Amino acid sequence: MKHTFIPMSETAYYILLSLVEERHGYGIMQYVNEITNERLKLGAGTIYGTLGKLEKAGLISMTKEEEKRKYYQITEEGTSVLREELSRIRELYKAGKEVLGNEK
Amino acid sequence: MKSERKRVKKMFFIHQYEKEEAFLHKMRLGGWKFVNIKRGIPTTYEFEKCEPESYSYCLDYVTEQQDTESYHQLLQDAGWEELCSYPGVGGTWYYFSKKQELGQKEELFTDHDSKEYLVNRLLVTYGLYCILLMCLEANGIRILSGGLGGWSFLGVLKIVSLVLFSSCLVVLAYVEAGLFGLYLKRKKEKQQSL
Repeated sequence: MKHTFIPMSETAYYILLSLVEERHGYGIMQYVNEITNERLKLGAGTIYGTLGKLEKAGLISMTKEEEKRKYYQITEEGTSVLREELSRIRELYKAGKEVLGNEK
Repeated sequence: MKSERKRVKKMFFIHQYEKEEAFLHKMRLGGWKFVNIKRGIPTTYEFEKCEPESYSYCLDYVTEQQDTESYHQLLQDAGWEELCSYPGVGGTWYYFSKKQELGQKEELFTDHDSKEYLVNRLLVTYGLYCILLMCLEANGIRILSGGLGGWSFLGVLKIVSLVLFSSCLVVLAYVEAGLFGLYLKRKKEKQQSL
């Protein structure tokens, strides 16, 4: 069964977003922690497994291996999946805002 | 001076790795640091006396295919100390620990997908192992059904296979109980991921 990735898990979404720039596993962990204001702490095992799945699906590719660390970057396919997911999130956001108004 | 050590025998089924983690965490809180493991049913855990500290313990089951240098490097980068390993079926169990900051639990797996993925991996590999054991057992029943037949060469062979047969049966029961537990765990994980 092919994994469609849409809707995307929060983990996959933030990993793909991190890989718009070339990064290694721990770099992703730090970056996600930073851009979510320390809300999302991805576990090392979760990152490792998700990287494997994303690579297999062709959404990211390995760019180099340095000092036992694998570096990855998003592929064209990955970028288009990410854009698709972004428009889905936009729709969620719009619908929610329409129903709930501007409540905080 | 060699520090004080103690051994604890305890049995966990395959699906109870989180209970095992909690057990190791509690021992460390009580001033016993986990240093080594010896296989068997039950398993022997070796501890070294230490100051009571709050550490998170995590187990991961890594298949041969996933067992790369970059895996170990990533976990090390993330602050996990690799304590020991335990050979499993078609892969290896690794034991990691990490000091807890502000009493917050540290985890290797932080979402449902990856937790379920671990359970699925275990179900597949241990499931195949279980089938293999059952084939061996079926064959054993066939051989032994002929009777022991005295102290001939064939008779001795049969006694040897009887011993193997019964020890295999213990392992099989252990694996089966674990598989059943994994199945229930998977169901629970699926319900929670809604």
